[in-house]
Amino acid sequence: MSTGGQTTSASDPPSGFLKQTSASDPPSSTATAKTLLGLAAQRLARPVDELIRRMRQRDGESWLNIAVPTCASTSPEELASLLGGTASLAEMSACKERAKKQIAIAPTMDHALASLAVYCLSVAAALAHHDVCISTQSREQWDEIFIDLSECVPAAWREVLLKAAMRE
Amino acid sequence: MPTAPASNPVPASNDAFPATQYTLIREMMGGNDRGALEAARHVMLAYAGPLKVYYIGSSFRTLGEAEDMVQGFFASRLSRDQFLHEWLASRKKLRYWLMTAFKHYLFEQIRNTRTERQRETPQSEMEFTAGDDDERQFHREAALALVREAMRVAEDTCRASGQEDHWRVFVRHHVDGRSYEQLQEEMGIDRKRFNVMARTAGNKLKATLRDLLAWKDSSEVEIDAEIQELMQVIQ
Repeated sequence: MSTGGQTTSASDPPSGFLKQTSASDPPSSTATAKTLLGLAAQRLARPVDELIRRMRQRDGESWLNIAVPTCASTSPEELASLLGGTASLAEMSACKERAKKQIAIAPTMDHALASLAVYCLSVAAALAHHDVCISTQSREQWDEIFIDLSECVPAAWREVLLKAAMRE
Repeated sequence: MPTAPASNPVPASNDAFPATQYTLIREMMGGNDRGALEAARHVMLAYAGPLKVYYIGSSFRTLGEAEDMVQGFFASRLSRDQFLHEWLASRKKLRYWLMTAFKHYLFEQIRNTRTERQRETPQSEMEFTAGDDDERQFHREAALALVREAMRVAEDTCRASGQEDHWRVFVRHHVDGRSYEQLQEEMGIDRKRFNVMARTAGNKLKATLRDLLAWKDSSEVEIDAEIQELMQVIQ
């Protein structure tokens, strides 16, 4: 791949930044470090971030597998229909609405987070399988949620979330 | 959403994200001697450069070559069974812990190199000083070293996930300053795919950086403050 005649490769380091710096290192290295630290400082406080923190724990996946049918009252068959795309758009909307109500009355954090996971998956499934956004929240916000959540969920969930994020 | 019950303890690593520097070293130290060696190597890799910069900027530099002093420090302290254990038990940031320990080591070298006669006529250790600027340089170099280490780890994580291209998009955009339009031309990716790739890789770097900065019982708010402090010192 090239840019204006300059050939690059996937392993090319960024402009000198990975080299050992000294007190007289060029401004670009310092500016880069500051930019990247700034990205790390962007700590979000969305509800889904709490779900992501839970999923990042060592037992995240097993927690999800247990909490979804129990705390989120979503049967394995219903979950499979969301993931596989066999649920109709109406069924996905109904699942989303049920999950939303469950979040509001959740007695524990596990209930709230499991229901939030199903809520996010329902919106993603509708986009991924039916190309319809069933939420009034902006697509930009949802795309960010889909991408962020996709990194800590099982493969089947990840596929649906990323497919949704790729929809126009 | 209702008020959360008591939070779960500090999350351990899973396959997707690296452990915090604290948990990384703790897990290494909890293993056998090989683990302790790995922990020491991790510390040396991250902090040799910053310690050398600190040393060179200080009046301690008359003691000898920076490389020798830093390697001597590592050999002396990291070989002690309790050195990293004591850090793990403290609530201090590793870079402050190492700098303090390094200063103690340098004062020891001063005392050891004095002749018997000089020991009889005490020389003020205040003649050997490291000023605020030297400490600022150390923290600056430590910040840069941490960012480099985070980039290395994040790139490895992307590669392990088959996301080399994601990392490349992120670097070309956030580090090399290429716009989306330039990357569209360069890599033939559409806007949606660009967003997914850049954000995915960026999230890995963000998580890695925050994890590397964390220390025992550090909260998200404290890590935010630490990041702000590092952004100030690398000005």
